Amino acid sequence: MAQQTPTSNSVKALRARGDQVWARMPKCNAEFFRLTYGALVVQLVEDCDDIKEVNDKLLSMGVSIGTRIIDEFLAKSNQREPCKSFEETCEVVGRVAFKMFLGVEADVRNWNEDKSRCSLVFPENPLNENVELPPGKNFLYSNIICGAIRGALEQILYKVDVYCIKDTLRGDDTNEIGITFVSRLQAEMDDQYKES
Amino acid sequence: MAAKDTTSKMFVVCGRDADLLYEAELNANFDAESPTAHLSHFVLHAALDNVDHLIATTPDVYLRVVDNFNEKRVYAFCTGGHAKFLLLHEGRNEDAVRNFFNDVYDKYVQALLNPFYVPDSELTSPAFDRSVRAAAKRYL
Repeated sequence: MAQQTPTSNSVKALRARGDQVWARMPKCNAEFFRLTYGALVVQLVEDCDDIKEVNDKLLSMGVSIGTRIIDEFLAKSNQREPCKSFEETCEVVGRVAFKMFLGVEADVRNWNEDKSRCSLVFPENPLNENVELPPGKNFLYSNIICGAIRGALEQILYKVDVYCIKDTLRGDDTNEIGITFVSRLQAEMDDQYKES
Repeated sequence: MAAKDTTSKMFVVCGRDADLLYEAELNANFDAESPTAHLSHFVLHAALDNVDHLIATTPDVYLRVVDNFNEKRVYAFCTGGHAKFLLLHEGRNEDAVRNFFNDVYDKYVQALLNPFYVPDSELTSPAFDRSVRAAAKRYL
């Protein structure tokens, strides 16, 4: 187990890569980004009947974002070879992908025994600034990020569960997203392409 | 606890159409049971007319003292979005009040940037309330 744990060295390398890629990414004004996302969420709240539906919608939007940005990620992130383990994949998501698309780095922590579950911890969520949730609702404001991670990992054949654990908007001290490994998917042809 | 007194130090935010969006009594010892407790509402409300006149005459957002009532003075500040901040206060330090308004303006903008806040609706944000009281402690 010891040699599987990413050494501080590799974390450093990933962090450096994250910074490097971030420097090359086109930027957008944070306030503009935040307000646009806020407007989107508020519109969803107006359109949907209950908060659960809003959370689900955000998640599915995230999944469709994820299935697209994985390609951008692979094209621009200097990820030369596939990750060798789920653990490494999560490190890359936290250190490089988060930095690349959100401008913040997420710390990968709280691994369970068999390395199938971990959390991404990031104290600053760029979506959260100036936002105050209406009280008394189980609102997952940043569920879109969970969806994006799920969608992206699905494209590289990881079936994972991604869920919000902590959110500063709900009074927690930090933001935490949990990732649980479910299964490896098989690259399969869709039914319509199979010979009958 | 200090004795109750009747010196009101009231701060209100009024919307574009003079609706009351937020109000806070900033004197912690204010006696809300006193017979003159609601006097401050009347004074502030009466001052609103003066504010509307003054806005047209000056390019400044800080309108200084807009009305007097005995010892009390009403200070006003009008934001770019025509929200009005009014403060009923006996202090005579205009600069302190200016600093207070500027600080509150900053927090007001932050509250406005919250996507869940509908502009010109009641300001119920606890964070805004906390910052107003903190600013009052600091400057007034």
